Formats: sequence, C-alpha cells, structure tokens
Amino acid sequence: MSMEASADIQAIVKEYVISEVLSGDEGVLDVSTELIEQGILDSMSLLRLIAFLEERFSIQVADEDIVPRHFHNLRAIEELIASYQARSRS
Amino acid sequence: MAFLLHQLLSESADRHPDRVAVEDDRGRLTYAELESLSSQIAHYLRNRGVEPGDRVGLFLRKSIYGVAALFGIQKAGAAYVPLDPQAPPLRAAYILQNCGVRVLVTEQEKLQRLPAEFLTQGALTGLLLVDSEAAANLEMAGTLPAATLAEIRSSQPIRHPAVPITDDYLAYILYTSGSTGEPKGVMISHLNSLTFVNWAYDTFHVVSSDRVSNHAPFHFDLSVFDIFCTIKAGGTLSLVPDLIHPFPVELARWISEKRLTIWYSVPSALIQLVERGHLERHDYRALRLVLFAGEVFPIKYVRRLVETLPHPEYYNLYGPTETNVCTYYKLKPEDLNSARTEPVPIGVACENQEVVVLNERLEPVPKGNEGELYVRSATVAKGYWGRLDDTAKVVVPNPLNRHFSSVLYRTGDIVRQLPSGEYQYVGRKDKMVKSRGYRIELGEIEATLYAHPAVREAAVIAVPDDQVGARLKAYVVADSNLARSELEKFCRDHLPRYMMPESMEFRSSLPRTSNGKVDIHALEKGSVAT
Repeated sequence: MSMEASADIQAIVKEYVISEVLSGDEGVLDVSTELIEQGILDSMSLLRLIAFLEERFSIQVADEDIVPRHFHNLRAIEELIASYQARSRS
Repeated sequence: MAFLLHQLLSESADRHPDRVAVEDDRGRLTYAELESLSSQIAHYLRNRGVEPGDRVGLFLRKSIYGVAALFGIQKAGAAYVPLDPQAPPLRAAYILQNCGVRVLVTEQEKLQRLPAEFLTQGALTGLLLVDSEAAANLEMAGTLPAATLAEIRSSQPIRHPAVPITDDYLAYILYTSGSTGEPKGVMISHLNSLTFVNWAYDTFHVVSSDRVSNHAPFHFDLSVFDIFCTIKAGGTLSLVPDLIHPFPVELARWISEKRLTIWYSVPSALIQLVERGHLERHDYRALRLVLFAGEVFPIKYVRRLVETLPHPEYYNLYGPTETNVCTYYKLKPEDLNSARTEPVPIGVACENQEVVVLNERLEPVPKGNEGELYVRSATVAKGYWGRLDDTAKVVVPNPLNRHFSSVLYRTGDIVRQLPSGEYQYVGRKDKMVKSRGYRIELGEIEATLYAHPAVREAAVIAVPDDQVGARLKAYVVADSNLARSELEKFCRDHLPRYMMPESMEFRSSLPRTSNGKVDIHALEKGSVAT
C-alpha cells in the first residue's frame, strides 16, 4: 500500500462510513461531524471501521488509540492514520 | 410494602434522601432530588391528560433525566415506552402510534427527526423536552403543548401525586423484533417486574453501598435490573456515558474510576473489554459481581475474563424479555477447565419461578432430552400490545395443571437438562437470532426487504460470530433497475441498526428445497465457503 495524501485518506474513510455505516446517506457527513455524539458510530460499527482501516492502510491500530479523540470525526481519524503512516516510514 | 416499581424510589428517598441515586457524565441526582423531580414530571403529565393505564414515550439519549422521567411516568399511573435513541424515525413513529402514547418525553434533536404528521395525528397531547431551557425554543413542536424540564421544575408541586393503580397495571412496554415484519410491544406489569426485581435484590444482596453500572439502553430489559434493583437498595446507578460506550480502553478505565461494585451487560461488551480493554491495568477490587445475559458467552472469553479479574462472582442470567430473567447460573471454578468447550449452562429456575421442558405435544421430556423451555411465574408478561393472537401463541394454558387456571410462557428456546439439574441452552426453534444481545427475527428483515416494490425474493441468514453473536447476510432477487444503495436506504429507514444486514447479495434466483422453500442451509453453507 502506497502512502496516501491526507485528502485521499479522508475521502477513503468518508466513503467507507457513507457506504458501510450510513448505507449511502451522505447528507449528514462532513469532516467535523461528531460521529460518536451523534450515534453514527456505535461499538459495532467502530470495530468494523477499525478492521477496515487496518487492512486498507496496512496499519495496526493500538488499543490505546481506540479513544474518542481519535475517532470523534473524520478529520481525527485521518490524522490518526497519517500518524501511523509517518511512524512506519521513519 | 412496595407493590409498584416507583414506590421503591419513594421508600429509598425516605431512608437515604442525601445519597446519590443516579449519576452520569453531566450530573447526578440524590434520592430526594430524584423523588421530587419525578413527582413534578408526574404532575405535568397528569395536567396534559395522562390517565392511569396510559402510555408515555421516551425518545432521548440516556441521562439522569431519563431516569427521572420513567419514574415520573409511573407515578402518573402510566407505562413508559422506551425507544431506541438511534431508531429510524419511521420505526420510532410506528411504535409510538402503535401503543397510542399520550405524551412524548424527548429532546430537540430527536423530535426534529420524527415525521411531522406524527405530532399532529394520533393520541399525542403533549411533549416534555429534557434538553431545552425555555419554551421559546420549541417552535418545531407545532401546535402541541410542550414544556421543558426547567419549566416543570419551577412550576409543579414536588409531592408525590396519589394515583391509585394496582400491580396489574403496565409498568413499561418494551418493543422487540417481530417475525411478521413489525416490532411487537412486550407489556410488563408492575407485578411482573417487581417479582423479578425482588428476586434479584435478594439473590445478589444489593445494598445501599453498591454502585451499579447501567450499560444496556432503557429499551433493553437488562436495564430493569440496573434501575429498579439499585433504587430499591438505595444504591447509586452509574450510567455509562455515550462517549465511552464504544471504546473498550475508556470503558475499562471508567469502571475502575467509578469504583463500580456490580456490572451487568451483554457478553459482547465484556468480550470487547477482554479483547481490547487492558483490564489488567486498573484496580477492580470494588467490583464484587459481574452479571451477563442476552446471548451465549463463549467459554474462551469467560476464561480470559475470570483469569484477569478473579475476584468478582460471575452469573449467567437467562430469560426472554417476556419473563425477564427466569434461570440463573453461578460460574464455578471447574467451568474454566481448559478442556471445556461448551458454553456455561443457563442454570436453574429463579426462586419463585418454575421452568419445564416439554415436547411438541406439551408433554414433559425425560431428563436429558431436548425440548422447549416453558416458564411459569408471576414474571410472565401480559402479552404483546394489541396482539391477542400472537400473545395466545406464547402464553398458553398450563397442561400440567388441571385444577385451576394457570399459564406457561413458551420461550421458543430448546434446552436440555444436565445430570446436575441445571439446564443447557441448545438453540432456537424458529428463526430468531441474537446479535449483541438484541433479539432479531430474520423474518422481520425479510418482510422489510419484501416491502420494497422492486424486491421479488429475499432471504436473510445469520452467520454465527464469536464476538457479536451473529452477522446478518441478505440474499435478494430484484428487478434489474434496483440499486443496492436504494435498497440499503430503504432498510435503514425501517430497521434499527442492529438489524441491518452487513452484506446484501443480489442473485438471479435463490436456492430452493424440494418442497419449494428457500434453501436456507444452502445459503448458510455458501456463506461459510466464501
């Protein structure tokens, strides 16, 4: 897997959330939509999202990173993935 | 002696007015505060025309005010009808209309999602908004009279209204998946519920120093133990904050920081704590009791949980919503033997309940043989709201008693009695499955798919999953112009999220058995192969 630019990461995650979590309803979602507070991600969809991210970006998300500040919106998720990619590069 | 659930609150408020009754991440209410606020809510509901026997809906995120509201509803003589806060608006509106709720307790964001016609049609006579400061914000309520919690607090009397009801009145209605395509409301009376609450209180020795988790949503009957046993004991009910719920590491820390003494949840929540919560990092010495219910808890995870936290007592509680808990099993050290692969038993009947295993002819099966589990108890629900036929299929005359009339509840669960006298769950007689403790009628999902005009055939299977119970797969034969996204949206508008198929496969035909039925086994085999 090549390193994606942040805009690409965001687009990939957004597409996943729209198709797999929101079943195609993109009306509500932007980079700062509160995914947990609004009940878009619950425990089951969050775990599925993490499994998707791990496979799609060839990363291993540490349990300590599965916390609200990394998953509360699309921007936070994108930053988390970028930080993993930066670590694997160095 | 308390014979109504809300009397448990009044009694505890007399004994421990200053103890904390309920807390969440935004606040707390003492027993005195919970008692007076719930009485004020009851007065408001009565002013809005709520009569004994009426239904009042709860459509809101979990909070200490939701707890005050459900006691207030009961004090007004009504039954509370808790909705899944994440329910699709159409489904929420269906439930509220189905049982004719008179008043809806809600919050602005939820209210805005409901179809406008719901607010102007039907039995609704008022709204109570828990999250608004002033009625000025309430234009979306249209012509319905509405009040905020702040207004009720400043205007209504705090004394407990005297509403003369008996323990035969409904305390709450819990809607579950219905095989014919629409959710059905399980009606629970005060007697039904108190029979369970009193048993649990005695069995688990709940006391005023206990700090009890509330993990389950209020529309799920695990919450009945959390709320009413804790309040009966004068203990503290600690609501798991929505923001922590999905995050195992945070939840593990929260349980420790809150010094919880009793935890009750579905196994899938405990599995996530074991898998990703790093329980070994925190201090759980306060935790004395772990209860789980709602689905099978795979033994390998039980073993890891007990190895990490050896100190608490563990119980497997079993029972459908229609009886709450009817059997229970205390985990024994030998259950953790590494050679064991079968799940822990569901145990023996709760005190003051009787369970029997019958065959198709309603005759008792010999000990050790498989049969369907039937329950005789005052916990057995009054039936399904407005569905006498469906009720008569499961609440049946007791064939073992010919001297006076009594009934048995037919669980649909196949069990087998072990030599020890304990019962072992074997499986379901019908197409109901469990996912994260939620009951799911595959027939309801199929009926929803069929409701789409372009769907010609549909079948849904459940692929067993160790961590969540089941994963749902739908197979659809549809007109060629039906887009997957359209069918997914249609389902999302009608089904709660836990009933959404994880995958949908479009096919030109479905496999059939020799007698023409959809061959579910062939689909199941195919799904394992892929």
